[in-house]
Amino acid sequence: MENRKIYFDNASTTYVGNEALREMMPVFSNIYGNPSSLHSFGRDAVNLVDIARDRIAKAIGAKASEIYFTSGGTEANNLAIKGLAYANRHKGNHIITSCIEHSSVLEACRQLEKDGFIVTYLKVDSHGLINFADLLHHINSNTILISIMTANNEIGTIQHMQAIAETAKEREIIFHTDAVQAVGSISYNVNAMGIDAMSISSHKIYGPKGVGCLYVRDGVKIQSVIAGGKQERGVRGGTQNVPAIVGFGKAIEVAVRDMSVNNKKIKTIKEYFVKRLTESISDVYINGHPAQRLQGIVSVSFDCVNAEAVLTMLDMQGIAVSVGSACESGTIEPSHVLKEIGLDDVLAKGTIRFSFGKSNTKEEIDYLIETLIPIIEKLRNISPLRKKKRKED
Amino acid sequence: MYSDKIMQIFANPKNVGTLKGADATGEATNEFGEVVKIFINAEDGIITDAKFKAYGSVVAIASGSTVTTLIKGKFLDDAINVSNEMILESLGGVIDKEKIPSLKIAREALLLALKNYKDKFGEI
Repeated sequence: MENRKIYFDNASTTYVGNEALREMMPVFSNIYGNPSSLHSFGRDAVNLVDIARDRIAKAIGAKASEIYFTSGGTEANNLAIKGLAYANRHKGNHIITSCIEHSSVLEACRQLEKDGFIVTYLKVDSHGLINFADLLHHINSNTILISIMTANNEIGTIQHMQAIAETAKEREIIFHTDAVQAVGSISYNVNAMGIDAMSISSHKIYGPKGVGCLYVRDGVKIQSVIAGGKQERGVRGGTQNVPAIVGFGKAIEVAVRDMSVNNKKIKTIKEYFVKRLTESISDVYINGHPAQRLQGIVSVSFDCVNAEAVLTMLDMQGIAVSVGSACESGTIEPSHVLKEIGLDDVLAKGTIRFSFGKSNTKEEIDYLIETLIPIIEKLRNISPLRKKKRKED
Repeated sequence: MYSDKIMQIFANPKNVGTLKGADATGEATNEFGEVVKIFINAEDGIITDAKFKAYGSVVAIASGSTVTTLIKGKFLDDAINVSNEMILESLGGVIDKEKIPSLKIAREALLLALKNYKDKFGEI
């Protein structure tokens, strides 16, 4: 039992699925040409990259010419925010995003602010949804870009994509969405959904790390944000990571093919977890929207305990979870997302993200709950806040 | 990552709890919002019992355990000399720099408890 290891951190990253792995492995040693080379080695590599590009395009209802490979979600978001902003600067300098975006979007926006752009960070309600009227209120004639994540990586809330996209389209504003956490759980058709640009990462959908892409609708202007060669039609210099791109292409194909089966499985696991958790432990709060959400992410606030202490105790029993999100460890500041949905400091610092994947089982949930009950009890016994709260009650 | 020593202490902290009608108590908080509360009883200038409660991270809980272990059986005026370095030493000698406030609050709670004792009983 001591050596048991269970992974409930699938929103941080996933293992590489068999089908993706099988396709990418031979590429490392056999198809090693540089896709930019003119000889047969290069052509072989470019063929593989093209196949992957087709698969990704097909998975989201885009054209292959609209897919630009990057090193992952962070780079895709940087390219989207900065590349779209600079390429369209002649039309205006105002950008609208939300305050619960991934740090790669928020930090890219902050960089742009230093360069004369004006950025509006829309607030969210306690479920993590932006207010549509608020969005309309902030749009002005200088607005060139709206960037709103499809689903939040910490609390799982899914935004009203259609309404945002339509609003942007009517006003000829570019609409970008960070879909890193949502791809594989939500089906996309960029045309039907009116999405002009979209960031995707491979390692959240059982593909390899170090690769992702940005979809940009043909006709939407974007410029490169790193100096380099003419790869990816001049939008992203640097030799393509061919084996990873091959794995990514297969991974997204598999993710879309198996989406309904996986979603069903994950929903069952998640509902079982929530039921057992709320039955077994008092004073727990589930964050995010109750219905409009990714099934795989459950953000739970445990009153009067510190999340790092909970995580460490779970880790000692072989169970992997996250505090807030993997990108924001440390104990000084609770995650910006949890603050923005209005959690008080103690609850925000007592928040654990459980994220489920296609291989988790109900039996693993049982083990998690049985492990979690004594941990929370132990930490609450140690906590001086617990007693005070009880007295106040 | 933490040393094995910290992990051991954190997993099985000693002296957790309160002392009913304790001779003195001290409660400290830090910038992380962590709280450590220390309870002491003393007789003839010697600390006969010490307990703690902690809300916080691994280091805060391990430090609460360590401080109370270090002061038990000590003269009150020796307990004042329990330093952050001594606590760190007992925790295995190394922690990340950003975790230091979590270690320091245990000592601050101790100093407040000793001050509380002095305020109540005069000299220590």
